[in-house]
Amino acid sequence: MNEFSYIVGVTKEVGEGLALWNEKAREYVETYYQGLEQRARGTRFYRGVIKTRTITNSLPEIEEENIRSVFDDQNLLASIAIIQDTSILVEEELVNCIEIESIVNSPWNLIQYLVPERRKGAGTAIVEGIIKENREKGLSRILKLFAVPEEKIFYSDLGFTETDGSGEMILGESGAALLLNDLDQKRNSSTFD
Amino acid sequence: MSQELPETKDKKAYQPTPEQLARWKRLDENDGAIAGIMPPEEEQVRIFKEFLETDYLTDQLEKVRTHKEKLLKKLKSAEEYEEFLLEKIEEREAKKG
Repeated sequence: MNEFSYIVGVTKEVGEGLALWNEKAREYVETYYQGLEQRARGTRFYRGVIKTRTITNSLPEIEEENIRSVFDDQNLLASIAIIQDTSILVEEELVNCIEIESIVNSPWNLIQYLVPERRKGAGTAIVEGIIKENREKGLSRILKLFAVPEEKIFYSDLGFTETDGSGEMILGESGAALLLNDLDQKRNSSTFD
Repeated sequence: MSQELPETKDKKAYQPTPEQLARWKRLDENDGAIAGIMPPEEEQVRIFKEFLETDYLTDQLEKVRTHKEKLLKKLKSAEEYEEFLLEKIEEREAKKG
């Protein structure tokens, strides 16, 4: 199982990482999609480029305390998330939770072609990092996000459940605890070594 | 001649259930972590083309400079207000004295 280091805020490495994402993504468009937008359209990689671009377009204005990222064993930025505090109604009561406003993996973790930089598990690692960070701070571990339709299964497998069919998905306190336990069990098994 | 000793303790002893195995496999294969509201399709096409045609570093530099300019204006405004408040406090103290 690949391990990732979890970072809070925007470090020089995050800035460098995003510049590398841009460079590699353009390289992949040339190599795998003949440099054409329409050839890449509809792919996970394409959606990743869009999401990354919407993050970097507003990056200077995003509060540093709202940015989380994970780095892999090559010291490459593997996933980035923008989070914010919010609240949701649970059984007619407002409870605090963390909204993952945006999350996106590196282009090499999204492209369908096997590339040497790929390290599986970055998305899971950043969600795990956010839960653990909040647990350590004694804050709510409930997470909320809007899943891209094609990626709902990924979040379902992490324990998120859909609320109203709009794409909004919630990971409750018990789901978060189960996920952490599940990942510990994965680390303690030799299946994915 | 050295002899290999049998392992006495398996550090990774957890035996996953078949459901867990299937889920872990799916998570590894579908680690397409993308979330957040996506722009409409037309906007996506524009953004992707912009990504292909724009120099990232120059573009980021421009955005950082615009943001810095805004922050400097805010700072100037805060400093002016601070100055005003200090003057008012001084005036009040002078009247008292």
